Amino acid sequence: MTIDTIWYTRCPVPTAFAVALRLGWLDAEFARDGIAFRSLAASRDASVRQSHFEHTQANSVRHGGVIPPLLTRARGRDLRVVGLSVSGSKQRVLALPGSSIRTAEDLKGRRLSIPRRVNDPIDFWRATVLRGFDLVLTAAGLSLADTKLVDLPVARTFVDETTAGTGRQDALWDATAMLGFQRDELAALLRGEVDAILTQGATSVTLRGVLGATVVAEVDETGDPSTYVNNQPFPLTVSGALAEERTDLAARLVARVREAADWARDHEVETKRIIAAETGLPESLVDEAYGPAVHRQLDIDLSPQRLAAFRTLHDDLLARGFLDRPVDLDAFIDRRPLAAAADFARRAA
Amino acid sequence: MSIDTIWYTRCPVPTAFAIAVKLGWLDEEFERDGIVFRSLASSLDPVVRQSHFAHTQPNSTRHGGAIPPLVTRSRGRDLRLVGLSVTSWRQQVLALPGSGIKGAADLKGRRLSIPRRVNDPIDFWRATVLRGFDLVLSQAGLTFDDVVPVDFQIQRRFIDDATATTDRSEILWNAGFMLGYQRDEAAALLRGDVDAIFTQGGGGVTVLGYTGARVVAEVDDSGDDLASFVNNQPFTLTVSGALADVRPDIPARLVARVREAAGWAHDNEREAKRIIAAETGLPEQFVDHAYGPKVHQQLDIDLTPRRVAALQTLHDDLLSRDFLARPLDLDAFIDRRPLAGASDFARRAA
Repeated sequence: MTIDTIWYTRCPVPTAFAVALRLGWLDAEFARDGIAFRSLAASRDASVRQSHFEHTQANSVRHGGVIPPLLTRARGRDLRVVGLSVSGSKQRVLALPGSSIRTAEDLKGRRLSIPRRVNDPIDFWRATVLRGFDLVLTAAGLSLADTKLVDLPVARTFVDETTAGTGRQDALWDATAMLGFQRDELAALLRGEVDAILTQGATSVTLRGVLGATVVAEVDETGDPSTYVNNQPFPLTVSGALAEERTDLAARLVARVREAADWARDHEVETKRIIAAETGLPESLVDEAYGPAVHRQLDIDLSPQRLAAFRTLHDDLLARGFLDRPVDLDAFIDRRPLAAAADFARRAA
Repeated sequence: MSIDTIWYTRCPVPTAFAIAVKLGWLDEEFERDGIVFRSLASSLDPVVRQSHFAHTQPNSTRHGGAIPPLVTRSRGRDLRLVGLSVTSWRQQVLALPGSGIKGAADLKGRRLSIPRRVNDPIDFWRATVLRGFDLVLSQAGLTFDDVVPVDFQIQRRFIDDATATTDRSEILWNAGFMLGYQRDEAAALLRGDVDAIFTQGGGGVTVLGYTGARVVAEVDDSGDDLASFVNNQPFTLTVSGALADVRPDIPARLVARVREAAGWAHDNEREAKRIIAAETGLPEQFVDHAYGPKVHQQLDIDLTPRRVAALQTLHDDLLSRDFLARPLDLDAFIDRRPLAGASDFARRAA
């Protein structure tokens, strides 16, 4: 198969893929074969950009939240998981100061914001919010049934908020989009229509600052990732045809991304600057959003521990009715690129 | 006068002073005399931190908004102005989509947010908002008589939201502070209690992002006549009066290093903008939007007639709005000796 373009996209979260990208390693890698490495943001076409969720673009690659790949795979799309990463990404419940909600226990009987993106085919955020609240409530001996779930319809779509820029390396979601990501929920909280909202990562820090809000509860992110991950592990996915016919390209991608994870470990300040740019944060807030060790948490692998966390997310989505059918994770995972990546390790300079 | 400590503070705006701090040049400069150069943030004492506005701390220096030094000087505080800088920063009026407000002319009859910090002795933000709206309304042929100013009270003080950390070089106003800076006004807008709010610089891009509001009017700052658009500017570099009189070498050395930092910023765009982002609590990619792409070339300090005239305009504006206890003699406020003496302390070529 002759390939002239590989399309890529990444979520606004910490990934080694984004580090490799910003270091220019992926461009350089594929330029050797005359292949253009292009962000989905390089096109203004809404269907191209929607491929961030549905993986529809031919010869495409994605690193980011796990919910969209699971949903689109369940709907029959041919894509493969070639690596998984797990990084700290704080999950916090916020309430207004003066609301009398101070702990997770106080959420009993209160109105929780459960957004619904009515025009998005893959509403990963609703699934994330449901799981996040569930984790917080369970830790406090409560369940969603002890609260009032307020369904909050949001008409705008995720791609409506994507960048106006079309740079070949642009991320789809810039700092403005990130600040506004939960603005409907923020407004509902300020108007008194809900009592608490769930936030994660960058948004948990920006909204806390914006609201002067109290962090009512935070998911405990220690121990087995299966017990706390949400929209993680972050899968690195590739189109099925690419994995089958050009396994070498997928293997070279994995090799460079793993090297970027190693580079990040040794370059804390520069990595956090990249993470800040990717997630739309001021540099000084990266630690608060993702934890101080985030630069050491970018490696990708297919270890049993991460596969177990992947399984947990799958089962969670299935239980909440987000998946059309169960996904065979063994068939979804392609171990060949990771196994072959060593063959493509960069020679020492 | 034997000095063991110089206290300093800067506003969360683009300044060459902050560049010099972040490059370590000011620590290094005063260390030679055994003087510790300390940010007001290194103390948790609210009286020390309040010196950001009232300039009460002995042997202190400050670079930032012009309103607090003018107000505190008018109340009798002895401080001196040793340099002025001017950087572009957008002054915008925001309204929600669906409000029917599309331009400045549409503000007629509408409710404008005029915050009042009831527990702050120097409410520079109220003064800034009044002047900002006035500039926008004037450009549309309107005045405050054509709108409904909504006076609303804010209990928290500026220093209540200052940083909790106490590092020696820390800025009082960190990114968390900046995110929440206009939270009361943004909430009023989202709740429908006001129709429009005024924002400036970094605050503007942030509020736009999290509210989904639109820019409906902007102060035109394209002309040469600074006096026609500056607000809370020129940024003043000030020092305690005693320091200026007893140890004039110290302000001169301060001015020399700050001017060199402006020169460095001119030649190091990317790193200068990274510092400006850190100082203003912004993601790096917002710096150009908030302050313009040439901000790294606009950090120089001087005392040119043009900048002094702009300061006079701001002074007159504050006086007419009753923010000053009495008129100021700007010639007596400005101390030209440090700037004149700065060249004696220019860094020798390495």
